[in-house]
Amino acid sequence: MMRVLVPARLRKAVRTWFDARYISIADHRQDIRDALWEVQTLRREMAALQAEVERLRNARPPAADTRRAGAAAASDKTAPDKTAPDKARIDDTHRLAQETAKALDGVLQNEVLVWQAIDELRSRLTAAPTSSEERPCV
Amino acid sequence: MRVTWTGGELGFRLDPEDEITGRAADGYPVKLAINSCALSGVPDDAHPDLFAVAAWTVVAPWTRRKITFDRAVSAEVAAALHDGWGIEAGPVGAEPRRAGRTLAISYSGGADSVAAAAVYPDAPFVHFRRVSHPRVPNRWPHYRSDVLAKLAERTGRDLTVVGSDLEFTLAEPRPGYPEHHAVAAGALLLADRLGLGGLGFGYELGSRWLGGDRYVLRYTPDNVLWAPHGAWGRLFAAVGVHIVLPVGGVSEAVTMRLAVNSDLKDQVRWCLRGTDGPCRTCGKCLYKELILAAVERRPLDTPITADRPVARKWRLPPPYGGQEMIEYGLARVPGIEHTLFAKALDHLRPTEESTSWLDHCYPPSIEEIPAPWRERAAAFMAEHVGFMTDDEIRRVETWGS
Ligand SMILES: [Zn+2]
Repeated sequence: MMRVLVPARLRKAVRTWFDARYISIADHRQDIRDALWEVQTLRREMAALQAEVERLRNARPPAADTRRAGAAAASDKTAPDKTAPDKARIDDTHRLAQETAKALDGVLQNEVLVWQAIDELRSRLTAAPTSSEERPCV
Repeated sequence: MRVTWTGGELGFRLDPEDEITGRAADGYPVKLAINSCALSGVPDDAHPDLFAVAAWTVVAPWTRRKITFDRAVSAEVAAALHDGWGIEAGPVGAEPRRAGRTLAISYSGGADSVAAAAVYPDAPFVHFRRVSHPRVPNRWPHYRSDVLAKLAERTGRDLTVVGSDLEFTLAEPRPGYPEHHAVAAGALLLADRLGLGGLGFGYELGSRWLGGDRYVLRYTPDNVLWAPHGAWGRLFAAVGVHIVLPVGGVSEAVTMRLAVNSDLKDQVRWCLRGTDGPCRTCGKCLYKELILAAVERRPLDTPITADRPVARKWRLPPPYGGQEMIEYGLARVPGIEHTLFAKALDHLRPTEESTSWLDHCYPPSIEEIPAPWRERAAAFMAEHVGFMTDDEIRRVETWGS
């Protein structure tokens, strides 16, 4: 790392200019932390979703499909309605899949914005007269 | 905007002034989903201008002021981006690409692109095939890109299929081409390999001259998307791949007639949903059925009833998208007054005479085809379609006024 002696007054002026124009680095760190947290939450939800799909796949005989099971249940009113709890689980899985996909949209867009912020910060740091390595932002 | 190609993979980063919500060439607001996409089967040594324009078809909506490429482009491409969009492009420093001799057809399998293909029976096809994006959940699996690609193979034409997930860079309104021209991204990157000098699209009279699509009711000689002197036309010309609209002078009634009478009639498919044939229940199937029934002079054959959501817009007064074709159908389909189009018929009251101009070719569309391919199109239209009279030409040029 190269250090250049910069008069305190100049350094202060640069800092002030810098702080006035940017979201603080602490804010950026928080943004990135938030995005990471969101990714981790989604990862957990995806894992849960996959486990649920796996469980549903193993729970039913390989040839049966929901529509046929539903039709059979409707035609035979005396049979115990075994499809109801399955339907609730399928609906729930469907809802979770939809919500996960929607949440992921937000994460991906945030990722684009985080990179935009990082790039901007990086270019300003390179342009700043003190040092490009003094205040790394990530 | 800064773009980087790694082989056929495109990555891009927003500059400080760029935003997630951008605007497509037709002014439509579009939201970015993700900043990466890929094209398969494309060379990694294409001319730098081809990489630049292919990237521009994806990133244009989100670029506000400036674009930085990962390799130098020609001054011609930079000028076209500047003049067309007010965008500063660089770095500049490559020799421009020379146009090749081959015309390829950007082939979707729809009636319009089959008709365009019929004009040039020897032209090779480039087919864009949607594939899933590894990082974006695909919530639209009903779109049967596999079926369309299979049908394209069965045409027997020289065919290059380019698979791409670039439609998933668009989050809203839904996945799709960020710009209409993104369908050509693969063909652009293949231009050196195929020796391309032109690329034919199936855009017809409505899209080229009557506003088409999201506009309605306006004569558009300076169409920013498809006119050779428009921003996109000049950009494509700058990389030696001229935009060619073989059926730009004829209506969807004519393209439909040409398609169902062509060698490729068994491969025509305008619906993206069905596997063994069109689904018959979507809005596009209904619109095309109206045109086909008019062309075949038979009653409407549709399972869609007036109470279905897809039929809703036909209970409302005009204007409608593709209104010229609605008028054409209403004037020709027997018994149309007893169908879900009854209300539209009340509003428009078209006649065969008032819509006969839609059976002929608008001559300026031939004049704007580049010289190497013009004569063939002119001969084809003279033989199979016929040209508009002065009165009919006036119908086009006063459309919407
Ligand atoms: Zn359909």
